[in-house]
Amino acid sequence: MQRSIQLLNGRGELVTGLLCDMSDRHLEDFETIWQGILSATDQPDRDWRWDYKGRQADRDARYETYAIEVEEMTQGLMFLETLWHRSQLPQRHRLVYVEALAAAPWNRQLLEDPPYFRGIGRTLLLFARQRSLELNYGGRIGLHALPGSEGFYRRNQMPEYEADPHKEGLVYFEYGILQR
Amino acid sequence: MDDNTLAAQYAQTGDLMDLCRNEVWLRESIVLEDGVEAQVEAGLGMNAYLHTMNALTVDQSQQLRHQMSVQSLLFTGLRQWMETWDLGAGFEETYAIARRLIRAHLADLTPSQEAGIESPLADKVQTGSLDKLTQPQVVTLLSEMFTPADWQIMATAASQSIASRVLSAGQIQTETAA
Repeated sequence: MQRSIQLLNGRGELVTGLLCDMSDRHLEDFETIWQGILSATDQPDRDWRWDYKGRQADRDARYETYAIEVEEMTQGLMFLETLWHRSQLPQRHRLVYVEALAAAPWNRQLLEDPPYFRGIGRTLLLFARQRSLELNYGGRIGLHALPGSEGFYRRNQMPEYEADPHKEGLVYFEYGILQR
Repeated sequence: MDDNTLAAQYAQTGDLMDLCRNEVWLRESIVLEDGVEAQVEAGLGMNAYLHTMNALTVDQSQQLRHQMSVQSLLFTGLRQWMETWDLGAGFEETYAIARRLIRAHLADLTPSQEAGIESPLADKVQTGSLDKLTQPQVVTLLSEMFTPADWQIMATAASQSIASRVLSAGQIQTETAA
């Protein structure tokens, strides 16, 4: 899958990028340049890449991985689970669960002002919702926001639930059915 | 994300991603991502990445941005150049290999190579794209960077990728006929 998308650069100009299935070279971008400036001394035993590689090896179709690429560099990544997760609401409807979502370090407002590209996170979030619609889950998606990211999801009007003790206290957010 | 906007888009085209071509939607992203709370990361598996990103100094951040700009310049030029090689099914695998080779060389550039990158990089930053003047400069840089062993590695990758597809087609045909 590969589709053209538009984003804004730091100067507020429209730029064209690609949203595509994640491939090994996107993972390489994450492992080299996204993190390459840092020493390897603090590498965790397990992070999302362990899960990605494991699922890739098993060819587990319930997992989907996507990348946003602009000017031949990976700008954002997203890892979805599409079969086993259910809404935390009482009806327990199926939903698309965002296992991981991240923007490249140079796209973050905190580190650079302005970010190199804007709209990465929102575009990925929108695509997760589109996948939910395509899977007949009505646009329902769930995720656990990392500390400091909660505000982004609140600003995107994503309903907020409690801190999840099963996810180290991360706050759970869930979009319900897309009201039409 | 306003459900009314999304629902209207979905009703109109069946594709929420069409909003990404809507300038109002895009400019709204600036507002939503502005300010202190501009992190977007989600998922416990990204915790380590977020932790290390939060530890970056300003100097490290600027260095990272420069590295990214250099790689973007070279990889954009590489793709445009490789598209003229007519590799067909062998393109993606060869391109991935070539990127790895370039990254390895970037770790060990000569001073003249480093100087050679800055000029087209400045042009690209200015214009936002590789133009007819910048692209040949990038091709020259890449040509000087690739060793004879690199060319052999890329050629092998291209031929193996095509061979694998031919053999796959043969296997599928055999299984179908059986």
